[in-house]
Amino acid sequence: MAVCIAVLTKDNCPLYLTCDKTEDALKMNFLVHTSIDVIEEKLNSTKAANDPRDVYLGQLYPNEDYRIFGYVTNTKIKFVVLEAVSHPIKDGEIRDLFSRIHGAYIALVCNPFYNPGEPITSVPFTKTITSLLRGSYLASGS
Amino acid sequence: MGTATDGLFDFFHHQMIVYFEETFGSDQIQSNMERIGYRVGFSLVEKATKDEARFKEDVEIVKYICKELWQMLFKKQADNLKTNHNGTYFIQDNRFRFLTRVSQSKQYMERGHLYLAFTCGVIRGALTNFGIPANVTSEVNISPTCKFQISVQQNS
Repeated sequence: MAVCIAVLTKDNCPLYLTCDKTEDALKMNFLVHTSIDVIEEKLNSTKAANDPRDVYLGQLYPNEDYRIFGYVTNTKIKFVVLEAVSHPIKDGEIRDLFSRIHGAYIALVCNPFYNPGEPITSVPFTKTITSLLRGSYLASGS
Repeated sequence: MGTATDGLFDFFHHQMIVYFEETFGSDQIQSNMERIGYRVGFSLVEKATKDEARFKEDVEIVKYICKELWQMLFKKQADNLKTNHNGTYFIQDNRFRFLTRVSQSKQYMERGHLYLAFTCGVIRGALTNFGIPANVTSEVNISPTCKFQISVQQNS
């Protein structure tokens, strides 16, 4: 189960960060912040071993308690997901999770009352992300 | 999108121009249409590129606009793309959707640019969301052919 989901703009401003109630929010903030460097490095590297065109960046760096995954859209919005080492998630599920986060973000941008670049306060978005955090995405659904 | 909605959007687009003229005056039409187009382009690109591979260069992005975005908006691709490889691009459309609805006679020639303002905004919004700030202008000499000029703002 994911313990933290974060959304960052192309200038690395945080738009949204939510974490499991059992986790320390400050520590999650710190870990997401440190992952920015790794994302930038992956984006700018010219000698990518994997498919350099993939929007899913995979695991960013190892930590003893958490695994951190990154995903950057074509519109330079970054999603970061932290997952507890004690609850491993399969690669396919992480990709699916990012796909759903992306879908929620698209729905948010299409909302005419949302100004891109502002911190996210939209209720449907936070609802979707919170339910993804709890793992309800594992059940069948849109 | 079925044929019923195609005509609907053409009428709606035209009526937006009429509305802005009546409500705000003729000098405000272009900027208002452009502003609306900007937000539309921004959101459209967000939605459309969800499952696309990552773009590496500006040229790829402009090509995407000419092909996929044009296909979405106008059911056809843009007819010509020229670049000076230094941040300026020209997109030419020989049968621009909104201009085909306007009579070709000289009487309405000055109003041609109003029908391009929305699309200029769409292109600008799309480029901004890709991370390429740019200015987009348009010109129409012989309707329904029109040209859009993209000038990428270089970072100082």
